[in-house]
Amino acid sequence: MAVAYEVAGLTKRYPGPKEVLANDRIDLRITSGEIVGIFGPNGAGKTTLVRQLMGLLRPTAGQIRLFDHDLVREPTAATEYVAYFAQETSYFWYLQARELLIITGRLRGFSTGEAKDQAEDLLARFGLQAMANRTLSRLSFGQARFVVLLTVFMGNRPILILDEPTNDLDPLHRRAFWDYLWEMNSREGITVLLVTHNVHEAEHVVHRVVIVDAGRIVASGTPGELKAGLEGQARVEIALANPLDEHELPTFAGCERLPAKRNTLLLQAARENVEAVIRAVYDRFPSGAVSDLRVVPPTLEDVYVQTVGKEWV
Amino acid sequence: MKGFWAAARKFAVSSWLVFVSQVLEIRHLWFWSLVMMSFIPLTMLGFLLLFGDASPERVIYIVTGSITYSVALQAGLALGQGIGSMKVRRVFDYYASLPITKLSFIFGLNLKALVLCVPSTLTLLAIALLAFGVRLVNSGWLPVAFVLGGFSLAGLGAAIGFYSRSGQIASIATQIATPILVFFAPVYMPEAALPTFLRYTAWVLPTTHVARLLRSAFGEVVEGTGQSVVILVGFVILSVILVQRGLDWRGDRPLA
Repeated sequence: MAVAYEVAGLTKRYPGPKEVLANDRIDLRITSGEIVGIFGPNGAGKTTLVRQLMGLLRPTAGQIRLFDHDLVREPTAATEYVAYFAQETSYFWYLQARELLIITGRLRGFSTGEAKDQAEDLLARFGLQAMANRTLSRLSFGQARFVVLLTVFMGNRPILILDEPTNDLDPLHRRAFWDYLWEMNSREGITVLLVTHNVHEAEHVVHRVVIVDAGRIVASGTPGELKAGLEGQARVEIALANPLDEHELPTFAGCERLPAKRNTLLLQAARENVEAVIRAVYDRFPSGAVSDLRVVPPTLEDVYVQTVGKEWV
Repeated sequence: MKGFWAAARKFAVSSWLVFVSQVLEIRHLWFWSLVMMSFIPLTMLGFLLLFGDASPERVIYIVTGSITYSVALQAGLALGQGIGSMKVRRVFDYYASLPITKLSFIFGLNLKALVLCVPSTLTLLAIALLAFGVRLVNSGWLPVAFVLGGFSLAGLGAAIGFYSRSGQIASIATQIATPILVFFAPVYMPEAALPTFLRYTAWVLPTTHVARLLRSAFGEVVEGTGQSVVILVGFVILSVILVQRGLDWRGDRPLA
């Protein structure tokens, strides 16, 4: 498989009185056809990283190669290969959904006929024909965002960079989008760099995960490889009938309490301790206080929490 | 040669698409955009006529001054405000991540502003010709002045838009540049009416030459029009060089 991106020593500083080191000597290789999830807490430097990969931001140091192009010297080369969906995306509120798709396809080099055909295919695929002639201002925010998201498919770019693509989308559209992305990857071999906080959702789509924290890559591997670090562990999810404050939450021997919402208790324990932990939970809480209890294998989200060590709720 | 035509075609198509997307994006504001573009030159015309005589010579100065104001400033400098506002709305990233050149982006935006100036220019001309009886002698200078005027300030407008840190700063910079370009140049008055010092500095202001060409169309200035065309073409070339080489729409902009 060809190497799509080869990143070496990528560093980005935002100068100023309080200089920010947003990316710190990042090395990354992305192969054609991969779907790579880039996870990390807010302010970790994910968006800065992908904006450099899109040629929208000049690195302070380091190299970025996109196929045969040196992207630091030739940032516009990215526009020929990559379609980008920005986290804080732009809205053409007074363009109709169909117009936006067609204009984007045309600007990516399609003829009018090709752009129209592709736009119609996308509108039909996602059941958007009824709203195709409405301006984005007359759609709900989620619908407008979804239309803008679909523009990344116009013009058939081999690489997509998607920064928080499914924010504000309803579950049906999220699922439809992930299915299509997966289909495009399997059928057309597109490469995807996916920045998201929705680790749980992305876990089912990505081939490989890169976790970024404080501007550096702190973990990298396939979901299976990363989860192997938690092998022999299980997570006990306890839904409480009444929410408890932090100081009221009990601790239990033989397990670690993970951050969670106020009415949920998350415990991570070695598999052999799970039974004892469950018994201790029922001993600790009065009858009816536990409304649900599940034991689940470790997820990518657990890997994330353990790696980054920050609250993920 | 084949490569040149392919590049020229790509430039034309992408400029046209930027123009179309921008015109459609203000479809709810078409009427108000035309009102805004017409309001200042028309009120300026009314004001100056109200407080002075309406001799044909004076009418020519006021009408050509108002058209100059409309074309050179609204079409050229409004670009700065437009780009500044695009930055705020993140529309900039949309275009910057597409395979279009900065030049076609600026050309498309400028074309939109120029097209929006057409109704106010025609209105001013109609008022001059029908209400005040002035005559067009060399009408061929009108489109030349209109197009060169619109594009001669594109570079300055683009620079204001690209380098202003926010839409508000772009707006302020534009409002500072406007009186310098209009009132420090012989736009509404003969060159002889300017203080000596300004007569020299006015030569490096495109508005001086747009107004001269427009006055030529009414037969007012006969000498030096060719020189003004050359100077305006020079400004257009400078704008192209500035946009192509000097302005960076990628660069070091962090997310605000």
